[in-house]
Amino acid sequence: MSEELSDEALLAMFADEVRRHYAFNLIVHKHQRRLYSFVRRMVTDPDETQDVLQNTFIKAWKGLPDFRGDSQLYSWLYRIAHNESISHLARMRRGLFTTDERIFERLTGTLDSTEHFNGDAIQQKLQKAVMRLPPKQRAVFTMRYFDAMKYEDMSRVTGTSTGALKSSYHIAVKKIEEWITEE
Amino acid sequence: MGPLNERDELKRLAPRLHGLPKADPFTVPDGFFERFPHQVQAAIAEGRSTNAPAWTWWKRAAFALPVLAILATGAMLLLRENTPAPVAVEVTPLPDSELVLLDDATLLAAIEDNAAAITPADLGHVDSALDETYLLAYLEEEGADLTELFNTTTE
Repeated sequence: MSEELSDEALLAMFADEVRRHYAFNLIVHKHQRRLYSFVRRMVTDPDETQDVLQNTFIKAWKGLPDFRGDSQLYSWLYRIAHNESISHLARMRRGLFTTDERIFERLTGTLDSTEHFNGDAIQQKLQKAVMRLPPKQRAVFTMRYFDAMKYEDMSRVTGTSTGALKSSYHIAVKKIEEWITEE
Repeated sequence: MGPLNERDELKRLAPRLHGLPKADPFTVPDGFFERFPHQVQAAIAEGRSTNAPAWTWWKRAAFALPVLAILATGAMLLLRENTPAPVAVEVTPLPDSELVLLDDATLLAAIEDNAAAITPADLGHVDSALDETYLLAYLEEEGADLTELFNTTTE
């Protein structure tokens, strides 16, 4: 049922205080899978993905009354998910003995577990290469390569110019190609 | 650059990456998407904050007190090190064989040498108008031979 309702209809329902919770439930149902996929590629761990995604929707709940509709609802939600993922990764870096290597091990640990990852060796290699990118560049690569997002939409999500995004994606592609090619 | 050109660009720039399937290899926990909307609603109902839990005052105090204690101890040790220790006066002990050889004249001379450095204040209050009665009482206590004293004075 939620797929039949447009974002405009859902937002109109949300504006009605009586039906607000029901409308928000439908919004979560409608957008959770796509956002889950993005967050999971950013943080890899399923529990941490759930936390980040939950925080995303909690913030969406608080911010929706002020949402002016000048962008698509999905882009707006994606922006929150992007910021929450970046913040989560930034919090991981805090700590006296945190090193880049330890963070990389933590992020790629999930990829070695068949419980959480069912890709083949090359896909594992690709995901590990993606994890080596800096968080913001990882987000750019994920949005463009996996989600096929337009640069204009990515610009609204990240608050970065399309030119800078193209450059960042170009560099990310070269890096990943090099990493998945090396033995 | 249109989509077709970009695909060609990707193929040229990263042929191996271009050839990989874009399937999602991550396993989603069973029933996750059925449970998740309810979890979100429950979190909203609880008024859960998205930020990291703020430190309560007692947690701050529990963290700050040991730090302050360490700093205070360090400061005390530093002050103690900077306080000059009393200078020990080196006294070269004389062996008994040399002490025996010191006669009264030598001792008195040594005292006189240092006498100039002695100020009246060092001596304390000297009552120049000391009564003769007190003097005699003192001499008797010291066991002085008063007859010798009188014989000396009469001479």
